[in-house]
Amino acid sequence: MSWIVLDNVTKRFSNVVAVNRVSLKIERQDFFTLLGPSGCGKTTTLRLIAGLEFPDEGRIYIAGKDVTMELPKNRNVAMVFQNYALYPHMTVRENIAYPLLVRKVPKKEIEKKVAFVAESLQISELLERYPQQISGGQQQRVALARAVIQTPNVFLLDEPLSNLDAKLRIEARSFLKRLSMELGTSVIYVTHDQSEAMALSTKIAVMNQGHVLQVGTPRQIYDTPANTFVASFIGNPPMNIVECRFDGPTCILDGQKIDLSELALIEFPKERGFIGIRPENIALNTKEGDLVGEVYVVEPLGFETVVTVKLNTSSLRVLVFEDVPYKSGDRIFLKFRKDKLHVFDESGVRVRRRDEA
Amino acid sequence: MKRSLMGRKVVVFLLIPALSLIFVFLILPGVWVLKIGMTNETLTGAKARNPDFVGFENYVKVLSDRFFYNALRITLLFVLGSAIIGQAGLGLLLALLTYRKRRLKSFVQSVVILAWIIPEVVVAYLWIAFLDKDYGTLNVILSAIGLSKINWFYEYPLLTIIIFNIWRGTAYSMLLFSAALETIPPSYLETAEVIGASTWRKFKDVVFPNIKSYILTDLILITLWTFNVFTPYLLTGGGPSFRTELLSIYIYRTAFRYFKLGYGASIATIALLINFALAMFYLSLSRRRKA
Repeated sequence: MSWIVLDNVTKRFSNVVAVNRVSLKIERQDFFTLLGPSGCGKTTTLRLIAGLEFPDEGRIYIAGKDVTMELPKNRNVAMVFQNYALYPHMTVRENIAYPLLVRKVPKKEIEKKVAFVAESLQISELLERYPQQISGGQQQRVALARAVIQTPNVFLLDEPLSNLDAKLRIEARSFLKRLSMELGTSVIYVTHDQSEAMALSTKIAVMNQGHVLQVGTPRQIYDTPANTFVASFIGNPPMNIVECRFDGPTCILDGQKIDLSELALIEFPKERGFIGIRPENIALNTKEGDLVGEVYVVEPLGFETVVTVKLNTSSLRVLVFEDVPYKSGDRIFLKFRKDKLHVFDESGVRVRRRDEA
Repeated sequence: MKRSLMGRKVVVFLLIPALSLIFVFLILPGVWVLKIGMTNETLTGAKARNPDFVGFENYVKVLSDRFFYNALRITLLFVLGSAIIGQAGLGLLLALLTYRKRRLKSFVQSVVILAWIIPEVVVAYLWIAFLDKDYGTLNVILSAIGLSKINWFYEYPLLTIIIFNIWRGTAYSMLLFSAALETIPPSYLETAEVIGASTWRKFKDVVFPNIKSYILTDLILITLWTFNVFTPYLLTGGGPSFRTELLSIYIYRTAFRYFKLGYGASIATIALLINFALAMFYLSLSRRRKA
């Protein structure tokens, strides 16, 4: 049995189904991310695991024990909230020590453990300060320290990076990844930021409207998204997804034909469907390609440049890593990397290739 | 320097009406009370027209006046029982019990606010009717369940006005504490919950430290209000035999029943000083907390 199991868990709030028949298996070594837009049910899922909410249906197991209706304190979980929830009237030391104080651990031992945890999280010199006297990044470490000191079965982190400014966030992200490797137990992480999810996770579950749409490694989610929602949610700039008509293996997009027979799909959509391709998998040139269009806008971002190309009615974003000699209004050809091209059927579900399991 | 929204002249001009009202209705009477407290002025008779200046003679008399000490003792008991323990304690309990229970909270709040908004005279008659020796609702109920009737106003006069004042004033404390609880981020309590803190620990370690300043504010206000309240007069008239004679009632009796305006004013001045001392005490508490 996996370390943490959610089996067909459903949670309703009055008439809204916040979590809809979610099943997940999380291993002990996983850094498992629940990823999705706000209101998708990811935080509720986390709270169900914590025991702050109880499911209407389904079962939850932690470390082989059925904890579905157990109170949080009987689950041995540690949670870090988005606002860190550090107690403003306690010093950093008292905040970190609090879980052990509640568990009536002897004073000597508390002192030793606080010193050790503070050392490993590099906050030893902050112990006598109050939370409002330290920076956001330091507050986050204190909140993590308060979780680490509990030696829980699982760490539950609810958007712990979103209160930090952009630069600090990248730094804290690396720190968190490093820390998670030393924790020795699973971390469940909630975020709406796909880049955080990609950078940190061993596994990602993409959620929308209470459903889990896909579970996989970051690579799997990125390379073989289960449907158009996952495809467009992951990646920045997001995947180009355009509606087109299919005539056998030929895709007709804004009146232009693309031959997709080399994709070896299980089957092609009957009539309507979508094709999707990531901006970095399109090449631009002035002579020949799969499609022809007109440069709409060029946005240099330093390392890369985003070129938006307009066809008749749809438009595609292209990521270019060399110098861009084009300007708005130029006539331009687009060449697709066919092995990176995805076809989605009318309902948005990705059509698999014959060689995929 | 901070620039104000309006020019200095405009500010002064706009303040004049409010300041002149405060001066006419608050400062002037205050000074007047101080002044006549040092005279032997009476409400009628010769000394009403030509009072003599007597200096601190009134104050010396007050300090050996057993009615004054009786009134002070009853007032302090009344403040302790009905305001500090009753209104603040019960208000906090109600606020905690209804925390994050929206329907229950709005129901309880409506009920306690009802007791707060009914005019005083009406409330007094409601309670007289409720506690009447022979036909009062409470005694009817008591005798219906086989207990003997109790003459509340004679046997437990102080307790009666204390309970009356708790009933009357708990709404304010409850509203204040409910609002204070809302300022605590839910994640504070949820963190404690996940850690496994007991209900008592959650109150002691998380809730109380975060609403301490609200509790102090509430105590300042209700202590001062209760110290000066006059409504129990409508229930008991200060009796029987002065057992519910609060300081405010004693001042009234001295000045307007016995017509000793000067003497009454000197007691009022002492009451003012006690109020001032109490306010300073609470304020010093709240300052010390912040340091």
